[in-house]
Amino acid sequence: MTAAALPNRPAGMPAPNDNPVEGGLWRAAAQGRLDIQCCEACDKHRNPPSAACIHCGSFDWRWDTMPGTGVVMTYVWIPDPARKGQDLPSPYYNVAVVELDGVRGPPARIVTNIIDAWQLDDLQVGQRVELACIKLSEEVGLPCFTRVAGSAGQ
Amino acid sequence: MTNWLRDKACIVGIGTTPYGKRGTLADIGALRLALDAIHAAAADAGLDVADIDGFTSFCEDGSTHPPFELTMALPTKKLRWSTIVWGGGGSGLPTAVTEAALAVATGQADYVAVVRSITQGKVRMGGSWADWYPDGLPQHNAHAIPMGFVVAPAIYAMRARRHMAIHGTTSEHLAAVAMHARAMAANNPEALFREPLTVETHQASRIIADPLRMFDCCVETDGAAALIITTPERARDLKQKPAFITGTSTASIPRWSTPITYAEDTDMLGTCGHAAAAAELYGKTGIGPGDIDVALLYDGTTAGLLLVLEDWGFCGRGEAGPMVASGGIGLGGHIPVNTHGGNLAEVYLQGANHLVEAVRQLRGTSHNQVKDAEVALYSSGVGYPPLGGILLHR
Ligand SMILES: [Zn+2]
Repeated sequence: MTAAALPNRPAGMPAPNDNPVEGGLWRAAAQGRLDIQCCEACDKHRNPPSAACIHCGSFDWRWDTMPGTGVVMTYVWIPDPARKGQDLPSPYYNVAVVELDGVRGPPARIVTNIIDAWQLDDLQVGQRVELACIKLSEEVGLPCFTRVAGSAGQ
Repeated sequence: MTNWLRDKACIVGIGTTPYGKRGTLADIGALRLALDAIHAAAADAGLDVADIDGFTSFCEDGSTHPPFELTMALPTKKLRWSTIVWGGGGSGLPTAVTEAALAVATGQADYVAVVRSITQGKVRMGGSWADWYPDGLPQHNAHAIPMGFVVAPAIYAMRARRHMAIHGTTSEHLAAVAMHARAMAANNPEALFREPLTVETHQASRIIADPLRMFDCCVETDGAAALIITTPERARDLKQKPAFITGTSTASIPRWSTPITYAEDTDMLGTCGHAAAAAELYGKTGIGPGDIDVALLYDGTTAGLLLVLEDWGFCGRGEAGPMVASGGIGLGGHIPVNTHGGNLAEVYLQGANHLVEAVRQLRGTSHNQVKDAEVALYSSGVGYPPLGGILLHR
């Protein structure tokens, strides 16, 4: 695997909760989709998953498949202690907050990794990104992202 | 907006233990440290420790010893008040003080000790959260931990990055905050990190959560502090000049806003989320940033301190970096800040030490005394509701 194809992911993180409230997000990611909750009462999206709507309180929701694109609002680079002695392009993984496209209601965002970004200057606020899911098992995956070429910066 | 609480309660005693670097006081233990701080605060107030009939704290964790344990080693006559803040983590101090003030003002208790004791022997508060939850991830972090959002400084780093992108704030601005903390600590014999810091040393320190480096993060330490709160009437029979509680506010952004994913306004992403707390506290007290003589601001990181300066109106949005770099938070500056060295250089007690310093300033006994300080502000940490602020006056 070349460095460019290798996903930049932190090692040893716990798997997400596959339960009736949160599972839809992670199960869709195993199939390569970004599904987030949409309220059946007020028709607004929300993320992260929650037992009821943060806009109107309704307990009824459906899972909507989103376009899977968005914008990096902010991000951090964190050194991964598990990388000591490994031949990887960088000691750091990133965690980014991406504001999603196609959302009805107030902005919905997701905490994610931009898995093709390795170096500290590979990311900027305003960078456009697109979905690139990582499968953890047959059941669940992680909705990660990669950069959209030619869209860096604000 | 009413301010029923105005001057109905005051801080009459402050007590601290000697402080130590992370784990060095673990054998003494958080319980003994809490007891030592309570005794010290009672002695400072001129109060019989047996007359303390209420206790409150915040940030329930492995260091917390509730009043039913504290009073197993105190001559307490009656236990009338026992609370800990629901949520808030290190941000919970304004709510704890509010609880104590309400308790004495309404007659539920006569003397309430606010206490925070921390030893980091087994658990390292600055360590990774990745293995904290073997039985499943908690709701508030379940979406973020699988992505590697597992270190506390990342809370502030996310907001700092946005601030840098929008306003041009730099790592050198953050260094100026860290250097200020060391400069204040240099005159404070209780402070643990008193050596001066240079921009070069700051810039050469390792990355913890870029844009934050090691010297942007609070110190890892052990120790305890306690404050005794009672009514102004009772204070007349005690030893110290009281620090009156002008008002408090505990208005927070709802939800665990730390990884800033929820429906928080986009404009809030580059802030510390204290705007609502500031508006409420200033609104109900009639006091504004220009009336404050000294500000004790929770500094879990240098970036957090920069951003709360703006939230509390000591400068405009985006102006905090240049203000700090030009000496604006020094003793002769626009607003003297964290004259004890704060979480960055004195000790990490989640703001309990900041409140102790606020009282010292109003008594005129700080190691970095602001001349004739009459009004002091405390503001709490970020992200984890409830957060808020406390205004004190002499
Ligand atoms: Zn709804």
